[in-house]
Amino acid sequence: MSQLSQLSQHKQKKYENLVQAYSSWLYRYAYWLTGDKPVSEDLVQETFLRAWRFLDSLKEESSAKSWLTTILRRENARRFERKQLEYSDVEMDTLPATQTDFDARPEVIALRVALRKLPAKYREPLILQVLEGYTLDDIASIMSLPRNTVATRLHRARQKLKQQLEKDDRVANELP
Amino acid sequence: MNCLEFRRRTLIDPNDPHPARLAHKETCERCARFSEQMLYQDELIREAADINAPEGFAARILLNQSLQSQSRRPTRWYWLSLAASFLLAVVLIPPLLQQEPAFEERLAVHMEHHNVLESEHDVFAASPEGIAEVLAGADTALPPEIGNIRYAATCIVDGETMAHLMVEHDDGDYVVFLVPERQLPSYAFETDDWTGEVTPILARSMVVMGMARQTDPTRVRSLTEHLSHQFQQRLSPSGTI
Repeated sequence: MSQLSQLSQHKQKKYENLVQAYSSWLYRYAYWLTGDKPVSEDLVQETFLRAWRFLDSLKEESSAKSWLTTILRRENARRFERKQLEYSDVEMDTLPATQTDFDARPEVIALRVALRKLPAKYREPLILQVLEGYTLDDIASIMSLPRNTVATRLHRARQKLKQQLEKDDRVANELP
Repeated sequence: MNCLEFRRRTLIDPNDPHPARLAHKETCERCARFSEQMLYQDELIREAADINAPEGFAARILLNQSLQSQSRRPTRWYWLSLAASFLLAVVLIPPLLQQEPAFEERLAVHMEHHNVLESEHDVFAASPEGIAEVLAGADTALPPEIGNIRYAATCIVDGETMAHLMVEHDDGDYVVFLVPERQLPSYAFETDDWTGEVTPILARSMVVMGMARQTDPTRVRSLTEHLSHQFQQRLSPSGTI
């Protein structure tokens, strides 16, 4: 097998590993960015196509997830530019629910509704931290924000969710 | 660390391992309770935000990349890749189709979580406005002789929006689903927990169900015919109101 062929196989294998490892996470993240399942699918497809083109620039596999997450964010921003929309918060509470809300406990349903209502600038760092365990520094790097700004947004996100849940009788009694 | 600073750090990160924060938590009951609330809230976030990727999503991404990677002039590798893609589709799709549960099974699963007939609430008090809104969402309106609608909601069953009603008759309560987005064939069904009938109504469908072992299937059939006639009166021939 030629060296070129070996390199090509290695690149393909590396790419496949990334897709298997991170496509679910990216889809979940894209959904909470956009609130739309088909758009989320397209975004992730575009992200991985871009990742394939620039795969050689990914030197350390340990940073693959953050790298892909950053690509997705940029693809999402480009989507807004193409549509000539202002990159503002997507009002998820105007979008139809895409999960069967009755297939979950009342407090989970209530929180899902509250999460949809949260402005995207608060929701996004919260998702990154809670779902994937990113640190403040990781989130600051992904979102290209100062660390203190990320901290402030996380603070406000949890505060707003707490206030929203306390208004919901279904949940208030379940809180410890 | 005082309570204000504790709460500030906890809202930023309920798992913050700062020694002063952990020490304060040991000594302040109120702050410890606040910390537990935030940890619980994060648990709910994890559960609520856990959206599943579509079936076969990773395979589609790989397929897309494979097709995009080919040069413009078809080469031997292009045709081999196309053949591989076709094989992949042939292998992946039939199992997915075979595994798709029957429509009534999906309704039965929905009812496991949303069975208003067995709800702890005694009175559902569906308001006329609420009923009208739910029926409008199913692209229909209230017929004159449907029975007493005690419950109405817009539900999403496996991504499909439908009106979910509980209708009270002299002989008991029945569940009615109005499916506005497709026309299903007419058939009767029995699941472990339900006896029901599916019927097309112009461009949409209706399902009438009663709890199995408590409901006479012939009664479900006659009620289905009655309701179908009632709803058809509320629709134009084209299927719109």
